[in-house]
Amino acid sequence: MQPIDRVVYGDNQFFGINHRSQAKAREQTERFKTQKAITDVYERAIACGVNAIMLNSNDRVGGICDWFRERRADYGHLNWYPSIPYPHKYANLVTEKGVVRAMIEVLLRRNSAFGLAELMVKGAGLAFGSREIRLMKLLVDLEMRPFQGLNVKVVFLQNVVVDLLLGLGLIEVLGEYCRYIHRRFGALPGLITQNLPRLKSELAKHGIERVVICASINKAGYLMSPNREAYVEALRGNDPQKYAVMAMSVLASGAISAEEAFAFVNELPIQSIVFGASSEANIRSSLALASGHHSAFAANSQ
Amino acid sequence: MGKYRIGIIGMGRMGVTHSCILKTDPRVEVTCLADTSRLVRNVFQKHLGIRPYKSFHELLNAETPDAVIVCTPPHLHRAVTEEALEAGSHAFVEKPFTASERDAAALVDGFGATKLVNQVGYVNRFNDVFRAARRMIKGGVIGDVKECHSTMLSGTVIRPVKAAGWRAGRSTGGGAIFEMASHAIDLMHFLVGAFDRVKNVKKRSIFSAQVEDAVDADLASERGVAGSITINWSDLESRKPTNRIDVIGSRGEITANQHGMRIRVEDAVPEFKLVPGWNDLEIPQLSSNVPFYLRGNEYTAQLVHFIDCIEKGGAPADCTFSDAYQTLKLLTQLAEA
Repeated sequence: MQPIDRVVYGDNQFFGINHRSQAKAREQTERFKTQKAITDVYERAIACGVNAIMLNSNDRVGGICDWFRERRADYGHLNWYPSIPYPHKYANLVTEKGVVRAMIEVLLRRNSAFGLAELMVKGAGLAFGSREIRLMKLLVDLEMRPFQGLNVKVVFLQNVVVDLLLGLGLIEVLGEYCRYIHRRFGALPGLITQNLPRLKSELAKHGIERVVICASINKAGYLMSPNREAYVEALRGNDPQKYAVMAMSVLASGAISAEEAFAFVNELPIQSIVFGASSEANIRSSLALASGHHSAFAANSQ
Repeated sequence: MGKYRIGIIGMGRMGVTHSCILKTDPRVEVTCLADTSRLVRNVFQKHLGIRPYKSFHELLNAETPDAVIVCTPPHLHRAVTEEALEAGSHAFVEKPFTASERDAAALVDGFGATKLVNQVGYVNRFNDVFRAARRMIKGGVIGDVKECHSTMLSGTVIRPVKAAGWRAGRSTGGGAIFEMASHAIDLMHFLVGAFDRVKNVKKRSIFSAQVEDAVDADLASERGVAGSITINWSDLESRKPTNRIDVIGSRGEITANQHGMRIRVEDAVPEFKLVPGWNDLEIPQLSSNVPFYLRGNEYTAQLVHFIDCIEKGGAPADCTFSDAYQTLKLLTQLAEA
């Protein structure tokens, strides 16, 4: 399995997502209203040594990706870790109209009639898979459009989708997703989950390998189902050639220092850490702490 | 003993959420479902082997599940749950409990005469922050409760709605009062006890043609606790629904939402690690693990509790039909004001 970047720069700080404080989340939304406010921070982060970016396919992703594409000479070396879909885009639609009508609406709104026809023909042309699987592939293509032309390393599927399929026992759909990402984008498939031990064991049972698993891993055991001990056990028994593990929500540990929070994660056999920060001081210290005793640039040097 | 057999009635967003969580509980098996959509029935039959029915009536004629999860639009809750009662099934009913006070009273009476577990999906009662707040209030940490204010904001309806789905109509149990004030008031009842009547009700429609999108009101109780609610489901700033609750006591106060709380106390409280003055507690410090996570710990915690109660031979649930009836009485007053 191709190595992934040890440290990846996330995007929660830009889009009003803060698992610890909603007041802070609202402040951030206000601060990052304009695209320039966001790209200024990206420039600073890259100057500090960020080489890899995780970005959710939300409604502002198109403009951000355009900005980077226009500056290929300066930023063409970056590795991209998109995550799809953007759940909030669909959440209200699904509530109001049901799943199928929501999908149709999204397809129509985001594409010209020709684009839609093209996608439909392609969808129908796929030799195998049920109607649901074909729809999933169509949606993956749609969500990935903004990232065209960037070095996409891993394509993550959001935890709300992964954990729904995992809980229902539709593991083969996850398998289809993983195979599709390998084949269509030449990238590694990534699955975000809040149930790492269960996901890893189900993937292994179904022979689904060469997958990046991204999960909350922190000293408090927050968002780690069924519990922290099960995570530690699953990680200790992991073969990184089959499953690369990326830790998120490392700081969601309540009243402990960043040093202590990163130290806990650095002692575990994980391959990567995704962090979010917007001030230069926090970006620098997080980069140093997340690198631990590994090199932050391991993936690029190979 | 074998696994408890569960039937899910209504496979909208909550029906799917509950099915997923229950499928990870080794004590139960989701055996059957009812839904009007053929696509939904086919997917769940083909891939998961769950026996599908076109209506709850057909399902309860053909099957006798140990428990049902009722996720239909609210105006159908009474009919579905009464049939479940006849079949002798434990019942978990989504919120709002029913679309009318009369329907709620009938279900309270019906289940009151049995040992069947009855629970309503007021999910905030299983949120770790609100549970901690309740323990503190009950433990007298902020003294005698004087005031309780509940605010709920969301961006559920942010463009003009003509008529789409049950949420857009009052008779089907829609509108901001039944959909959102229900959460806000139930949470007040959970934290400080029930209120009796509403006053100074102000309702506004922002985008909806047939129902209110926002409501403000004062709440009064025999115990002399003053209450108020501020509800708006057309709040453009809210990306996710937020429940904020402020509880003011004679010796301190609490401000809490699903993600954390600030609490002011006069004396140190070692049991909760509180120091005199303001204390900030974030959810990672208060959170407990659940066996499987989907959309929030509280969604799993409420179902674990429901199944625990069934295992214990019909112990009363934490959020019973009677609890939900108390909330529904106030919703009815708000709707009629």
